[in-house]
Amino acid sequence: MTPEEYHLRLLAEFDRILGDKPHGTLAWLQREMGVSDTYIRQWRAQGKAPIARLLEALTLLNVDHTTFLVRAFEAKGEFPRIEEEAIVESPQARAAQRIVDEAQE
Amino acid sequence: MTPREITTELEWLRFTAPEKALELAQERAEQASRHVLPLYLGEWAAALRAMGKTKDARGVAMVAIRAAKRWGKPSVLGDVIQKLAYVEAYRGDFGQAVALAEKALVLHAEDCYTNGIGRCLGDQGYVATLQRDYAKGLNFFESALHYLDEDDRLARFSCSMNASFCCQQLALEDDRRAFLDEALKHQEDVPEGMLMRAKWEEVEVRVLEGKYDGAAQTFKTLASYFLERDQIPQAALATCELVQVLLKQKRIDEAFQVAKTLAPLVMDLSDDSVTAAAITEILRATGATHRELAAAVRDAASKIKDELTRPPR
Repeated sequence: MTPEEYHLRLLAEFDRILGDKPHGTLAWLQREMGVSDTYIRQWRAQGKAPIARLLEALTLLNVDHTTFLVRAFEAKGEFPRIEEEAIVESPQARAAQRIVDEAQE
Repeated sequence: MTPREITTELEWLRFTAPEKALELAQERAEQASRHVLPLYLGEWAAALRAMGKTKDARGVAMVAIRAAKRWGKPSVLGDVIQKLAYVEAYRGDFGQAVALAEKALVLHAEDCYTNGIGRCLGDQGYVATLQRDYAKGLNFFESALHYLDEDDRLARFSCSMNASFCCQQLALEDDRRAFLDEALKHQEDVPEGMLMRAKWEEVEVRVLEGKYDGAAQTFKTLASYFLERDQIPQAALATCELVQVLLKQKRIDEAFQVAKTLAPLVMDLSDDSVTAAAITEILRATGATHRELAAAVRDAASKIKDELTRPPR
């Protein structure tokens, strides 16, 4: 499996798991990615939020999680897409934009 | 340098004098190099939010995000997305606020910036608290404390205080005390406004434990502090607590005198405010027995507290 294929598979799996089974994420990490029972118990004991537990797992497994997670969440509509072109009209925003434009030049 | 190290000074200033923080953020943004410019724009947005100018804050935060996407590393983008998350929370769009905070968290993880992860979890806890889901809030604050740097005293203090508040709402008195003690470890290192909140929490816990020594004096100090800053509901609430302590200590005459000092505060409030109605009831009770005064003050304190913790609309 190429890294890209692996990535896509992770993305699809993650999407599916988070889709309807919010409590299935850890079980999936155990089954598919070999995260040990000890880690799972530690995370549970520490009472961490699921997202934090997942990030730890991804770090542990050296998975490029930014692209992976952001894409997965965006695909699911969990993360808002912050539109590059979205402009909020206000004098303060215009002043800030002027500084950015000057920095660009 | 991490985003926090770059913006600490501005963040402090935002808690004490948001107008000055705004001025300084604008000045720094004018002089900044590209890779840190988004951070100063983010502080600019945060200062506007602290001043209640949410539309402006949102506009500047969007500019900051565009700049961070162009020039910043992931944790810089995460930091400015957090600023937008806070603005959305203040606008009452909690779903958007949480989604943005989660997005920021992933970006911080990319840079292995654990303190940023802690702050994002703290933000999510704050949103849960605004929504009055205290169990969820407590869970987030506990997680946040796990990730925050030991020397990020401002965030550790804030998360501990918020966790203590959640415990109070959940009637977990022992845990409330433990989180409060954790917060008080950092009391030398936080702005005065935050410290006053800790003092309030501490005296409330002491009163609950039946320890009244010094409680009246602390509530007097709190009432004056908020009055000087025109934070009338907070000043009225501290005065209500003071009257209740005096009544419990059987200092009845003093309690009646203090209750009457609430009268001028009504002038600074709109006719239909919860605090104005509550104070009017107390003033009515100053012509009655001390039991009736105690009941009126208890009722007023509960209504004002409820109003102060109401989520933004």
